[in-house]
Amino acid sequence: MSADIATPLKQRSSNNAPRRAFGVVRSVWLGLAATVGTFFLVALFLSVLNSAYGYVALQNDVELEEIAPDAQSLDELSASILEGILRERLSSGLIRRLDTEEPLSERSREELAELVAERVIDPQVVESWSLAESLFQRGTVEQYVVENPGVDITFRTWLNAEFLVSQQSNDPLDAGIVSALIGTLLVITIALVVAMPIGIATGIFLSEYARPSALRTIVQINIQNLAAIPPVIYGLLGHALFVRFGSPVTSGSIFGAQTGTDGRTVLSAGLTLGVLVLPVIIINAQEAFASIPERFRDAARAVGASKTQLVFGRLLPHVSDRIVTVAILALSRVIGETTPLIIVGAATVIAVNPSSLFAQFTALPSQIYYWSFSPQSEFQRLAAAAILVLLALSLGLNIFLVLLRRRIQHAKG
Amino acid sequence: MFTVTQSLPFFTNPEFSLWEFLTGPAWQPVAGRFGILPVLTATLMTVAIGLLFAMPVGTSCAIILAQYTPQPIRNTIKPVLEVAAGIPTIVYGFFALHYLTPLLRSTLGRELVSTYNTFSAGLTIGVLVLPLVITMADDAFAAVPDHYRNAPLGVGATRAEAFRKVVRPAARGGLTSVLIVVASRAIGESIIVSLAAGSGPNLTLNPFESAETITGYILRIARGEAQPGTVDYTSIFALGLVLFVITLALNTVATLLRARHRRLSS
Repeated sequence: MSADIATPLKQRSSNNAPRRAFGVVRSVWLGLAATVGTFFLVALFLSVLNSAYGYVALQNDVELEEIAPDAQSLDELSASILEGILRERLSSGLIRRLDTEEPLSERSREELAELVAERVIDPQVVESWSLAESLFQRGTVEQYVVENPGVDITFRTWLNAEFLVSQQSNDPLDAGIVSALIGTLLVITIALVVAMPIGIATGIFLSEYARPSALRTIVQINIQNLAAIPPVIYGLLGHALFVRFGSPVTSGSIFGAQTGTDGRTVLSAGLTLGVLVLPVIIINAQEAFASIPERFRDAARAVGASKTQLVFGRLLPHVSDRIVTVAILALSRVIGETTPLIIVGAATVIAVNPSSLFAQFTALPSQIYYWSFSPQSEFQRLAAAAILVLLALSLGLNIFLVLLRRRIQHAKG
Repeated sequence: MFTVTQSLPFFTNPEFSLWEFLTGPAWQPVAGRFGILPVLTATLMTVAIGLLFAMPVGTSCAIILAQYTPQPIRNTIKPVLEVAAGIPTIVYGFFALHYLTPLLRSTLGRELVSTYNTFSAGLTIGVLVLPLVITMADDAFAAVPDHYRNAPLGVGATRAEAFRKVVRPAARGGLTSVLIVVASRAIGESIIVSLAAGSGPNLTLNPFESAETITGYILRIARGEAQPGTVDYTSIFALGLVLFVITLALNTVATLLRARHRRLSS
């Protein structure tokens, strides 16, 4: 840049133009990056929604006209006719089983109609479409109807009330996630119940009781490393430790429980996740206590309080809102962890709710995972619906804890 | 205390030779061949793709966040990033399988892109760590003292120049540790690669083919019914040990970098 201090600024040759151009290019690049980033994050959410709703083509095993030529719908048929249909169409073994549960003749008309619909007419999903396809590509759907007469097209929200309370099933129309929901709730409860006290206690110990020393630093470094270890490895650890090595305890046989499982239990999963989240809790709890100004401790000591009184009477209540934050962090971590659950042995297909801590289990993340592998695309839709449930559950619990924290903060004043 | 317990499960099959383990091209424990190279290259590929996506995009977003967005918008975006960082990884896996791969296949052709490929997995890992990169890069830039930003303006540089020539080099230490932390996170990622990258180890540099990473392999064997004592079973622990060592090394480097950075800037 040629310049003589006497020359007015405007006349100096400058390289302003390229420099400004650089600034513009950079702004464009930055804007592009931001757009790309936002796009992906939004696409993430949308793709889940996309799968969870859409048209399905149902094909009935037996059409209504075959079993009741004159009726427009099952509602027109009386209980006795319905019972007759069932006895005629279903295998004797099935009839016997249903009768043992509750005799067919004593069931209500609605129940019988439901059975007929489910077992005799037995709609099967032969094709399903995503939300985007259903909304924007009606032509494809209509084309399919033309090519395949005899199918019914209905719009299906895969995420509905029955989904939440039904159990697993091989039929995608019947499958639900109630076992997975209960499993998830049990597992995260165990994990938090185990890990929070130990973690907070360790945090208190490291912050208040242990004297700063080489040993303490080594321990802290260890814990930080542990917090960064991939969950896969915790899964392996949990498997080896709780499922194999500790199986007498985790399967309950040491307590005389007869569940016939081999350690792949709710308890094992809960403990594994507890170990996983423990370092995080310790680190955050320690930070919470370290952030208390020294004057609190000085004041308590000045009036002669003992160490225990100091810690539990003064410090702990003071950071109770931060402890809730720690709980929030731990919860968020634990609720979405899939890999440890799978390695510890979450069941792929299980049709009963866990009966106890020592029972086999399934949980939401692992259920989603296994469903995603299914060759039937309908199970992918179920997986999407289950993801929405998982996100809702996670959000709900988080909000609950945030509100709790706010209440504590208000009470502290 | 716990690191001792960690070493308990990591027993490995006494049969294989260490050399073949490290350099052999095939991984078929049942057949007695123990080369780790296929799963290792797959892991490295997915991580590399993820980082190639996330680092530029993420740091750019962080720059925008740090310098150009007004405070109110920043205050809404930061919590959103935290929420995004908390999304369970299966959601990302789902996204990879059902949106990204079909998208790739329709744009680049079905012959080129197979249903399971490392590119989808890698890109999705990039999306997964993107919020993390943005947050950490933002912190790294914020750690640069303000006079670094203002002084160049005083001698007539544009904002962009000030940034490129002064602030960014100053934040380089912080950014490097971001890179390492994110790499460590990406290496340990299992669900996304399990769903999207494929099963069956495959030694290839083509990101559009299916291949299995270390973590994907562990998951696949673990969800099967491998009996303890079989080669399959012990192999997952062997690979787990490798993973553990790699992650530990990365984390240690990151911690050291952070400590050194703090010492230098204080």
